[in-house]
Amino acid sequence: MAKKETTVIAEAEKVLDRERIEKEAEKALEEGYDGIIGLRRRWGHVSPYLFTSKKELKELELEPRYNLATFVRQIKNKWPDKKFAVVSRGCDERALDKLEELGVLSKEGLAFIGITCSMEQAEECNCEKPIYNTFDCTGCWKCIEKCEKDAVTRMNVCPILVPDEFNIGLSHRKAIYLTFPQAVPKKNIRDAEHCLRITEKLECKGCENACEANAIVHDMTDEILDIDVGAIIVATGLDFYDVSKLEEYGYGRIKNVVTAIENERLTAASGPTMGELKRPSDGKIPHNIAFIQCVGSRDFRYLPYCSAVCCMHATKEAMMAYEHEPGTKSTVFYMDMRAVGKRFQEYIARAKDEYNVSYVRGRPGRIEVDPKNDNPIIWYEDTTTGEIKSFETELVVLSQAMIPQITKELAEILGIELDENGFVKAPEKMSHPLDTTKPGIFACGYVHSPRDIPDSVTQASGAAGRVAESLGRR
Amino acid sequence: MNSDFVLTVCPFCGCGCQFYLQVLDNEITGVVPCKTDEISEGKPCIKGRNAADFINHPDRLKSPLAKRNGKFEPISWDEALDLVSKRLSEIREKHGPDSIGFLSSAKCTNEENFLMMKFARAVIGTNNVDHCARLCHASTVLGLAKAFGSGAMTNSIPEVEGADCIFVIGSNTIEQHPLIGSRVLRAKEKGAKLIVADPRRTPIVQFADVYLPHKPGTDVCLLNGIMNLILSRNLADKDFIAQQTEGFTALEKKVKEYPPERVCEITGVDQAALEEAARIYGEAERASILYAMGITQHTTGTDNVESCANLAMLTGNVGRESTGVNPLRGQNNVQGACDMGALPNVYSGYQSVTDRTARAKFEKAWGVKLPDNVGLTVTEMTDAALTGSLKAMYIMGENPLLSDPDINHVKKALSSLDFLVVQDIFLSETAQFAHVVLPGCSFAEKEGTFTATDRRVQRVRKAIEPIGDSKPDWLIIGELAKKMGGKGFDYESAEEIMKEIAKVTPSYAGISYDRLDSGEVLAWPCPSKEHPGTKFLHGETFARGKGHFFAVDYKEPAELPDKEYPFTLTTGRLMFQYHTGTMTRRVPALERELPTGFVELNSEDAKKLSIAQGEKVKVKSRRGEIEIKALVTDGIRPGVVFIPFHFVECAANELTSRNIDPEAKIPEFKVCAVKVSKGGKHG
Repeated sequence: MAKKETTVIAEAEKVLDRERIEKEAEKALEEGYDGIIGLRRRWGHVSPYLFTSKKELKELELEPRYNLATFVRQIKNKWPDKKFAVVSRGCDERALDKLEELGVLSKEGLAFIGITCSMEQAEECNCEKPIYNTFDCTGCWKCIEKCEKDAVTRMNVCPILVPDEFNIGLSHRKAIYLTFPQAVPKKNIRDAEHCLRITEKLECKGCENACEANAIVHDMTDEILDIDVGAIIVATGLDFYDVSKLEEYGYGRIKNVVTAIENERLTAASGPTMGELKRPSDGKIPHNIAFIQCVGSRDFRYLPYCSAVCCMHATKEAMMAYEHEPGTKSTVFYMDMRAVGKRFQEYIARAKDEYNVSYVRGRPGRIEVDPKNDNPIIWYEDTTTGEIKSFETELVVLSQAMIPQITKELAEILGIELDENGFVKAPEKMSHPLDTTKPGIFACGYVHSPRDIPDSVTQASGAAGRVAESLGRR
Repeated sequence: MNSDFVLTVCPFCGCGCQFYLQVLDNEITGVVPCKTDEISEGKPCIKGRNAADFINHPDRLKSPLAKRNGKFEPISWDEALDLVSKRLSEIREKHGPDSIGFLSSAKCTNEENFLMMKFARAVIGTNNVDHCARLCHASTVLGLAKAFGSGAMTNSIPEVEGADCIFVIGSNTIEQHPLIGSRVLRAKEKGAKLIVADPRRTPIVQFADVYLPHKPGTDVCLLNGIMNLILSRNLADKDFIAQQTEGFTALEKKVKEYPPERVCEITGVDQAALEEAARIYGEAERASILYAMGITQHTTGTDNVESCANLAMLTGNVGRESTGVNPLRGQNNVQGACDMGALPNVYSGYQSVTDRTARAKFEKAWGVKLPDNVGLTVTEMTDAALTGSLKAMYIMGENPLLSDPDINHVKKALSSLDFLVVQDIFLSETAQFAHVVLPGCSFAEKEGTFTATDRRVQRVRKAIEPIGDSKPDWLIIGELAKKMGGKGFDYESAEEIMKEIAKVTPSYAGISYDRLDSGEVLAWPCPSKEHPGTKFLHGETFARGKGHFFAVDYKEPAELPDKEYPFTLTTGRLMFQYHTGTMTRRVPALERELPTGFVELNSEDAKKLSIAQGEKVKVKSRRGEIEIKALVTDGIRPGVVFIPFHFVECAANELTSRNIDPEAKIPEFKVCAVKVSKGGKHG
């Protein structure tokens, strides 16, 4: 269809839409609604407006887009007992849903007359993309004062907000930031990918103006250095297995199902909630928590091996939840407890005796949600009795599998081989367990094989020893 | 259940952004941008966005005050008006009408300014009425009137976007006129070239194709130098000069005396940059000059303005879209206050008080005899108060005690008055010196019109009832005038005043509330009901017939740095505060951004004086001394320091000089000599 024809049809649709909306609005007034919230043209311009008479509705307009949700909230909270019909777009309704979720608005007494957004409007709004546009921001900071959830951080130092990698995206960081609270050296770094100045999107000077040490250098770039070395130790550590593949547990779909690492950040004092374990759906602190072990590990559909540390960290996290909120009940669903190590079994015993932690032998089959309170319900077989049972809890923590953090590319560059699970291959397991397939390159820690921190430290000493040995020989 | 969105105009700068004041049950809950507004396009700047926050401030004056035994006591309106009327009458009886001076206000509406000047002229019988335009664009009003025949911005704000070359001289456009600044950037995005001349590296400099950091006060020399290059490269528009202008031969001769070598030596700019600027401006199809206080606030202010006009005429950049000479006016209604004749030499529409026909016209309209002598300007009033020839002043919505040069001098002047009335919304520094204080209304509580910098007349609408016992300023003046026996002050509404304005002011003749309320964009001249307003001036011919070239010589600023006072001080404004801060310093969001002043000091100078970043320093001139935090930067020329004038605790105007332009009487805020030394109290 030619562009002109499309425009004509779109115009005609707009007229029809306007007529329909005006009729519905009139009907709402007749049916006893106290007002219609929409847009009105006056003095040659268009603004939000509370219509209370049919006569005014002649001046009803559908464009441009204003943020009606804010206005609806003000009106509704000012006159909670009155009934209003809102001439709204999809985005207005989503915003109102969100406000209700946050508990700052009740949608009771509100009716909606929907606007069909035109293509031009949708394009203009760029719906799919983030609303906050740093290029148009005038820095008035009204958004900060208005935002109930503190979702907008004060931005005059750096206007960019990027999901914080260290908090697994649970909070945001700026384009100039400390990588994590205990980072050594404790110095801020700049994100070359997002910084407006480095990417030359804007002559932003936020950090420069704030820095009292004149430490901001804009023209510094990444340097690639060639270094001659005699030996290399690969200690690139671990990464997390993507557990959203295990659809039965609903990670990513069920709000109150989190991974162990997310739970770890939520309980950390330096984390996104300042150490308060708040569950995602409503920010309430859960007093009944379930841990599911071996999520992705020891499962031939996913990873065949045991991740080695989850039994212990689940127990630790359960104990920490109790320490934060005494009385918290934790239930750990496990296949078999692998408390291998000095005093590890005693630690589990202490969790049972002193920290209200129960261990249930059983592998949950699926998780459902109670729509009333967003509580997850776990269905499982209690293998000690053989019964199929359900268990309602406030938060589910998945002890996700862990994987070695080394890419094929890096392995190729180094010229070392990886095994079938992606760990660095150590061919001489008995005589030289830390040697890789290439002389002079050693490996230790999780990238070598599943292990916890103390074991990794021990191995690291061993690797350093092997390096000293091989270089000393020359 | 009362909820409304009232369309009104921002009370800060001259861009004239419209926005909505949101009202819930007679209470303003905030500013909502107007997405269909042509200027702000739904994105007003930080000041506009926060413009509602001072309206309900607890400091608002809620009743008239009279000073008794050195203390203010609330009194009733009747008492207050009786007192003012009695004292003004007495003083007029005893010392004559010219012993009373009036300061009108660029913050007030056109209607109020018109009434103020009508009150001064028709009731008191003096032409001693002026306002703060004297301190900002007096040189423009005069200089452009002499060159073109009309002392206003030639083109409209949206046109800036269409220019090929924008020459910004002495304007911190991005910070002070953000919505014009954004248009400069858009023009730039479309491929326009940007030339910026400013001793200070203001934010717009980073976008400039050519940056000319000339020494403060050397503007005429710089502009003559550019014209010299344009002529020698044959870039002048000879047809335009021949057909539309006069006085070219004298200019040509004068400009020849400014070869680039000499210009660069005087101004301190780089010769290659100067040549590039001349080439870009000279070759541009549509070149627009934007200027502000950096041009006007000099003892050579009128010369500077005339030089800008010369440059535009030389290249034929007047009278077409997206060209012109565009003075950016700093206050929401400073254009309107001038248009309304709140000036000592003209009635509304720039009709001269010394012109017999004009005077006769106003005498007939108002039914009184009017004085025929030109009155005193702001700066002259202070002097007259000190010498004793001025006995009383009536100040509406101005704060000379922070805004005028050499505050200590102003303080002495105000305290030597027999009677001082201040009409304001807050108890300003000036109001504290008053005998009677009358509580006026903010823009949110009254009807009226403001005229933006590009001559666009827009409606101010009442959103809420006046706070406390305060009254709209037009009502106060009207009541006082009636009390003093003035005739023709029985206005029921602001609209009635506008009808009278339209009747006696040719350029406003076609402007009415009905037309404005229907959404028409009307920029004067709008001589009839059918006239659509004027987007750009001097389209067919210049307002005065032919454009006049003035051959102007470079003169040094009045006070140059010397051994004792080795630095040149230049003053100005910042993004987050507005003028004397009466309003913005009561807005938490703005005060948070910029809580106090500072002196910008070049890093080399700071090193020599061993002054550290943020250290408290003393800045001293022949007139005063302040303590202030140092801001060490490379963004200012060595030897030059900058202080914003918003802050009473470190007031730049304690230092500035009273040297004025001999024609326009504008003080030289941009140049005076100061000394900077270590050792503030906490240093």
